[in-house]
Amino acid sequence: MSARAVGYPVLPDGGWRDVGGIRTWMAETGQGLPVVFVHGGTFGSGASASGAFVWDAAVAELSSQYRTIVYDRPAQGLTDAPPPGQFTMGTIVGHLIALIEQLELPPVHLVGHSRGGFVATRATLLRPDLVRSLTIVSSGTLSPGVGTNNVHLARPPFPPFTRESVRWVYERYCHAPESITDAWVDCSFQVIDRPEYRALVERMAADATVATEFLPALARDKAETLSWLREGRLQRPTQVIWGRDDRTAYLTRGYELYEMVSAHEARTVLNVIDKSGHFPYKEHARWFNATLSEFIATAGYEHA
Amino acid sequence: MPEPATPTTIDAAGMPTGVLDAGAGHRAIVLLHGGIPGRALYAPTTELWRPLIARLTAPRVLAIDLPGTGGSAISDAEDLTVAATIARVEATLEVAGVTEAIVVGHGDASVIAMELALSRPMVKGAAILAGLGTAPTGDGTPPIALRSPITPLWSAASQRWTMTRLSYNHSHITGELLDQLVAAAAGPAHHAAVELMRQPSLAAAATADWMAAKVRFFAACREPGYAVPISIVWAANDPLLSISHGDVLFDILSTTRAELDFALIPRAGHLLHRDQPHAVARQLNRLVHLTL
Repeated sequence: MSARAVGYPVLPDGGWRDVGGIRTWMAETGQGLPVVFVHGGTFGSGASASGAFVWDAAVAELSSQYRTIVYDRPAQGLTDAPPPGQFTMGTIVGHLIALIEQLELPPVHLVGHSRGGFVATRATLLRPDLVRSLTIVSSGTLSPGVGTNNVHLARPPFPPFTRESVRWVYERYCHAPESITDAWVDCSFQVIDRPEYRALVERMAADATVATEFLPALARDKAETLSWLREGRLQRPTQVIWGRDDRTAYLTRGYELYEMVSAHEARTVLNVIDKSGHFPYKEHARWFNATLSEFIATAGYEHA
Repeated sequence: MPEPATPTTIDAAGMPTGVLDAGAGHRAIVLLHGGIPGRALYAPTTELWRPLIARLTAPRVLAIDLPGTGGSAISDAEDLTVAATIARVEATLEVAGVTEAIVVGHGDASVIAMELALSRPMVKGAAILAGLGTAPTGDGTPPIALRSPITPLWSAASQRWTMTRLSYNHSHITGELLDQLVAAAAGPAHHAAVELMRQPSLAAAATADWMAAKVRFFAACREPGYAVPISIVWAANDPLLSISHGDVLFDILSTTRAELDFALIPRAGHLLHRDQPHAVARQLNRLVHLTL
């Protein structure tokens, strides 16, 4: 771990480590079974940015029981970008696997949100030996069916790289605007305001990296991942959590995902919270933390 | 949870009432079994809750025999009404010293739980398990799972058939369970309820009474809505209720001003608390953690 302990004001101090050649920011807190959180969002957007900071409420509450580990995915948050030509989900999944291996963790409880739900699931499918249980939160990226986030987030009315654009994006994602705190917006702004991040966004726009590199590779990986799910390869206790009012990933998609997984894995549960958009762990933090904690505490130890 | 829960009889407002009581204290999770007394094709008994009780983390668990089942006596048909059932549950909680409760209603009894949750300040949260008594029926076709039961009703063979029809996983239908069900059927409470429900006019009145309770529930959801946290726990393989029933119930309850959640449990039938007791316990334990 790097000597410089910095990060986000809403999280415990973290630091950087080299993970597969990518300088990676992470923070860990607490003791007990490890719980690794994988944030959502995508790289290359100037309208808003995600990162480890979204898990602040989960870390604050669950670190009294578990060893919580949050990190920034490659090219997101405070983590460096991968080399050119490697802006793919394959890189991000491989990076998560490398991080878990490098930390020499016993099998972890993996929690992935949105695009991070895909990352966590794919990592579980590739390396079940590293994973004790899987929690998938509102992942339109993973679930079959039609995604609507690019519909609801189309053409933000505010300029990129501003707090206003960040807040606007979160307002589209969330059910209740009051759940979007200044601290949350500030963390996202902290990321998009970094010169390195801005430069990356501009370079990716110029190269059309998302359209020509990231999305085509993701489409191939997704097709394979869904076929693996249909084959029943996901053999870990799996919890699907969804916000009932998510405009960007409709609840019907959560049902489809649940059906695919539960067809083969008895230790599956679908948990839906009312009056919640795409961020149930922000809009209903106590509920989410209790749901996750109960699942982790019993996952895999017994089932009829 | 201290084990074992002890079956006891409480004098609730002058009427003997059977309970399974585990743990101690004034804060409790209260379990109300499904099956309309005198009508259900199995003899409801609090013993059905045992696998779930063993996995609950509440300071106290109190499972109550509804009037006309198990150890809960009745004197006439009036004691079987929804209003009298609610009054009996309240009296039981008072005698037991419970002042703060999460009320859990399975099947038909979900409507009892929700009526209590609407207006009794002592109820801090509620859960609906396979809510036959609360899910909209509309003009849907009746389920066929329980048609043509084995006779004589409430014999061991007949109750085995019913349990099998209602369950996804048959391994919980043990000889010990059948002995308990047969014993419950042989008790004076069940016997009295069955005799009353054999009278067509009383049976028709009971049907109308339970339907009216459901209508009151729908109206309460519209206005004023519920103020306490509610968990809906649904079984993916319930022969009496589709997943869509749960979806619609979730939608109706969205007027709730506190947390409302819906959980879908795979490989579970109508007796989900026996098919998947750990998964149901997880949902209830969260409610306990957030509420009690």
